[in-house]
Amino acid sequence: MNCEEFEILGLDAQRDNSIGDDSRERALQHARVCGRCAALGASWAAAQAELAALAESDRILRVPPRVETRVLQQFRLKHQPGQERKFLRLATWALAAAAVIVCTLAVWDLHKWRQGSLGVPIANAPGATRNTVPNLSTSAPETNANAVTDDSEILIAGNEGNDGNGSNDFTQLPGSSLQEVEDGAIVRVGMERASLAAFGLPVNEDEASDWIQVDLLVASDGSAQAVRLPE
Amino acid sequence: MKIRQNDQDEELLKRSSRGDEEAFTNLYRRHADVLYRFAFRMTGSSWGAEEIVQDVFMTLVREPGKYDAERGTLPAFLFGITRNKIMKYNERLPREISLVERQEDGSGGGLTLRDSFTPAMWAEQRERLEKVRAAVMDLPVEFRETVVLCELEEMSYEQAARMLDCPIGTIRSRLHRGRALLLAKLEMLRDAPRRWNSVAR
Repeated sequence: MNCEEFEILGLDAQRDNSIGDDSRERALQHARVCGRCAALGASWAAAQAELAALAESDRILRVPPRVETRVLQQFRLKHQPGQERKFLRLATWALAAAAVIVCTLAVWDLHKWRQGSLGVPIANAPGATRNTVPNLSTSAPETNANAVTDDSEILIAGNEGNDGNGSNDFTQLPGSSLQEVEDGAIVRVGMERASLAAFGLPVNEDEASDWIQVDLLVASDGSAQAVRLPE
Repeated sequence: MKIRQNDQDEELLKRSSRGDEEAFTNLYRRHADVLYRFAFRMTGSSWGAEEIVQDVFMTLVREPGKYDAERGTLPAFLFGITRNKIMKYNERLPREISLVERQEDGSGGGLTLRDSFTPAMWAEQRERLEKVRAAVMDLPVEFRETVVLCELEEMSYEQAARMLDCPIGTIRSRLHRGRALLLAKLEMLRDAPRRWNSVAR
């Protein structure tokens, strides 16, 4: 081995695993016989000691914890949106389902309310006996009212199949006479729903204060013989 | 052992890319300090090293798919990113060599005072070490990174070759020239300049 080869291979022959044992041995032999290369080797050994001291002093160097915090924040930012999207999707479906249920309930309630506000006594329900002149129901309201148990059925929309004036939907009032009705007139009056009780008709207490219009069938003597709730 | 460590790295990376924070934290803690020391020794700035390590791991968070196991180990991949960041950092900023780095708690970096040292000895050694550090910092980048990996991080030539993605012969050559330059500087510091024309040519 010559000096040039020693400078390349010999300085760190002990650490360089890529060179063979024979090259390592030749480098050591050269250093023993060449004073210049021996001095170079000694100088490098001193430099290595200084580098080792520097490496040792740097061994305590650690990344500041704030770097880990920032990197983990970025990691969470990248990976959490997926989970949040999943959660949001579920929440959206849940909200949509809730909205459908609420709407259904609201429509059903509105329908029920409309039935209540436009309804007539159950005397006009299908199957009830009706008079032909002037289309009065012969069954007493009390009787019919007894036949129902639900408030929503006490006042029903009883104008199905009528001509729009509700002419077939009169309910005979208690104590009225059918004969007297034949010459009577229909009078539309406004009254509180509670006033229907005066005719012996059942009234939904919740809607008792509502102001409604009713048609009264008034006999020639001026007495009300029948009543109906126009649409 | 190395194979097992690399397998662990890859497994941790897979889990990380699926959002496993614990796996990512493990991965970070396995490699961050080595990268930080390398970046610190290459830039001479603890702030710069901090920024670089952060950028390296941000890259890993954003684009874990960039790592291809067939092209090398994960540490080599991370070193590659770190080297690029160091290069950009050094291009962007005027060279600053911070000789006195401080830790977060305000204590100085570098030497720890030992009982056998007198304050004067401690100060002298510290000054000496900072001069050695400055001498390393003065090396051209390609020599410096080889010296840092082989002499300060005590990697084998094979490891350094993998980290720098180059043949062992290149490592040996760079190390040879880097040592020559470093030796000349250190001998100047020792006030014992030695004629070493053939090496420093």
